[in-house]
Amino acid sequence: MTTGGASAVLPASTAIAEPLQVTPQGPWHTVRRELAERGSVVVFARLDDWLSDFQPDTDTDGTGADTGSGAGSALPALLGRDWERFAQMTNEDVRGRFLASRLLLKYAAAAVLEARPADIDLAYKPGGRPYLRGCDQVDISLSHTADLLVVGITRRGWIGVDAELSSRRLRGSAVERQICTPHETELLAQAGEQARNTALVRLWTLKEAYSKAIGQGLRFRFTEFGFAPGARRVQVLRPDGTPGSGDEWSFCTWSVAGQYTVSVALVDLGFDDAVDVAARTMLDEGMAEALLRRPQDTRWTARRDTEGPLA
Amino acid sequence: MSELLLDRVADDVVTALETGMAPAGEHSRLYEDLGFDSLMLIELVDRLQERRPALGELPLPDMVGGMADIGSLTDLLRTATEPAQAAVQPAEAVQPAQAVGAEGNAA
Repeated sequence: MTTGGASAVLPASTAIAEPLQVTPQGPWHTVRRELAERGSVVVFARLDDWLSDFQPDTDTDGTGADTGSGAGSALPALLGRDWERFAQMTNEDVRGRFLASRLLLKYAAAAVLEARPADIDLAYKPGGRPYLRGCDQVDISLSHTADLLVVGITRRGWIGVDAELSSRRLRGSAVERQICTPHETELLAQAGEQARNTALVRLWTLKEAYSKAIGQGLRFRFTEFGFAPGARRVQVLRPDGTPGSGDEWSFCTWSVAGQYTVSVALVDLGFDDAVDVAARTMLDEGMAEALLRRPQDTRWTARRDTEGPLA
Repeated sequence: MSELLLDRVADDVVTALETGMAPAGEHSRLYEDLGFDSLMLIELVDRLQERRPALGELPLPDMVGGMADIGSLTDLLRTATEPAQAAVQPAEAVQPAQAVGAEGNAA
């Protein structure tokens, strides 16, 4: 993956800028500025850029016990409530993407909240939607596939992001039959095979992004709402193709790193008054001190304090 | 690779439904152990319908809460196709729904 590899495949919404590529070293000041100026920011990252700095120490008994003293030994504190689930994962690819995506999300959230990654409390609602516990001023969403990680953050309302390999074959599959509205099926039938697959990947990521933004994920019937393949203005449509959402929704799709399709759905709920979303600003003094106090284990943290998201 | 995995899981579940036995890999979790993603879940449900038409319509939104592992998915399908038998099961025998770990909403 090369740097700066995102380009819009549709006219970019003014509410959402092109995704920014980040590593553990940043550029976090750019992420903070983007959120301050636009109210939303989307970042993407390469899996290996995040895993190379955070290899878990050997956990021979599978209990999640902290067995080492390197950077990996900070993982239990950094992953927080996700540590137990991570420690029990048996699939190495899944483990890698799970770890890296949580690290990216915590670093990005820490950057915009002006906190430290280990102090970000990532929690999940009953349907699985992630949120930052105690920091309701921002909404988050994450996606990962193959070598790509994506995180969206907004202070405007709700956000959903989704990423997929652009080459993933969906045409002619069960997915095509099960996610398309009658209107979409009719439009896609007019396209050539390659164009149809490209449109399907875009439709899938848009629907996933929208469904994540409203907190439904796969519990939402994807055949009951749609988008117009190739339309200049992206909006939610009813199954018959008539408009189903208002101007409060913004959507955008990008081609990232030349091989991924990334879509974002954003609804502006008017939560834009507080430009300063720093955790200290949003919390009372006692709560901020308790939340942001320096942890006991300083070896890893000290290094990150100078190179991390506040740099 | 994912095609082979989808076929294997679908075959194991259908065999369990037909024999009444526990499925192979009963405790394998679709996401954490087998690496399923959202698109693979859709493909899996389609394969199950194809291999066992008696299952009828299987809308993913209705199933996603009970697909954490191969065993819970099999139980869910058994319950769905044997409503009369399920109705006379003692209450304590009914397992609570398990959410799929495929990060359907997280990732």
